[in-house]
Amino acid sequence: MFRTSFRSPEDDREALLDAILPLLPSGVHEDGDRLVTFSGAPFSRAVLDLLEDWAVDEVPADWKSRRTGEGVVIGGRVCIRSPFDPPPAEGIVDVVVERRGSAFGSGSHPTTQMCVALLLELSPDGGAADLGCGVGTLAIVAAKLGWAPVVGVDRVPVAIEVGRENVARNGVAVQLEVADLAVEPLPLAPLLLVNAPPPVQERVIASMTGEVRHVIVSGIVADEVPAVVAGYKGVGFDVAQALGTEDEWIALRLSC
Amino acid sequence: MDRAAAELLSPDRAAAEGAALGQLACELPSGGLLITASRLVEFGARAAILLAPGLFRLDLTPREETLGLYPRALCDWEVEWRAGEDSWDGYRDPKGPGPIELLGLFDVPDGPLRAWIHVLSFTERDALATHFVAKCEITWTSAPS
Repeated sequence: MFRTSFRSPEDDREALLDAILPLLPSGVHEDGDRLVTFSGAPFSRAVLDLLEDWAVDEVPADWKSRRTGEGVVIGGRVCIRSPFDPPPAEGIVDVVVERRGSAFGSGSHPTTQMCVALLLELSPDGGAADLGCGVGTLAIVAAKLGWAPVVGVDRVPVAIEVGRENVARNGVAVQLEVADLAVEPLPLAPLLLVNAPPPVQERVIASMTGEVRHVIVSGIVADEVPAVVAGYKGVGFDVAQALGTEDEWIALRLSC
Repeated sequence: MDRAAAELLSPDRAAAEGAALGQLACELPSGGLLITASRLVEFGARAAILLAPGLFRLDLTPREETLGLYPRALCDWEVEWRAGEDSWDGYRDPKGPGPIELLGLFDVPDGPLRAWIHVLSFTERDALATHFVAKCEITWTSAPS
């Protein structure tokens, strides 16, 4: 399937639509000063030459199911979207992630969004490790915000495979590896991103060293907060910020 | 009635110019033009549903809870559009799809033309799209001069 976009100034748009809409049964999507259309076959060069500032991208046939939603802007500073959503306004950090299968971390889940919101409260200060990184969303956000070096691990091979594609897509330096956080050594860094259930949190707490200054925790619900917070307090961390959703997902920023 | 006016009600012309849209057209038994079309349109896309050459094009943009209607005049004559109040909420009627009805009056020199448009919509939320079935009857409001 092919996605064709072209420029169409709004003051001249109706005349252009008069010419093209009778030829495009699926219609056009209006995206600012551009129009976008999807077709099973690419337009011929003769047609493209009639369009202004055109671009053609081949998109997978199942691109709809691979969309992460409409894209989300967090804190007015970071946009997480799929390759099939329009880019954000200028000045907003643009993070483009794709998911496949059951791989987690597309940015559509509230825990991912809360982690980004908490991350935005910190100034970049060294490296970051995303433990349970899924398709690499939080690691990529951290790298784009200036944390370096950034690593990520997840036990799901397909998540790491897609995550590496996402890293390349975003042009950042992030090292992603397959690792089972239940048994393998944890990579540590001044900032830990741990959007993972309590057993992983317990493993992080047990592995803590003085190198770690901040931990952003999510993937837990309200009932699990006391035990998780007690564990981190036991290794010198205090809650600096907490966020929650109506359906009880919690995110915490702990610092020491 | 001159040739240009007769062309406005030509089924052959309506079918030919709306061919890419899968539009069908025929002459009404009592005189006038009937055009019909059906289409699956993704949420957020603006798509032409009906094309009456020389008179108008009807574009629709479905969204989850609203429907954008764009009646576009393709002529220089004065045009008046009206929507039946009963059909305003038809698109989001929880009891089932309700028809949307529009009436266009075209001040054609040979006598006013009346375009009555009837659109049924069926939203497929899983597909993020709406299926439209539309028809339009175009008739003279009085015998053409």
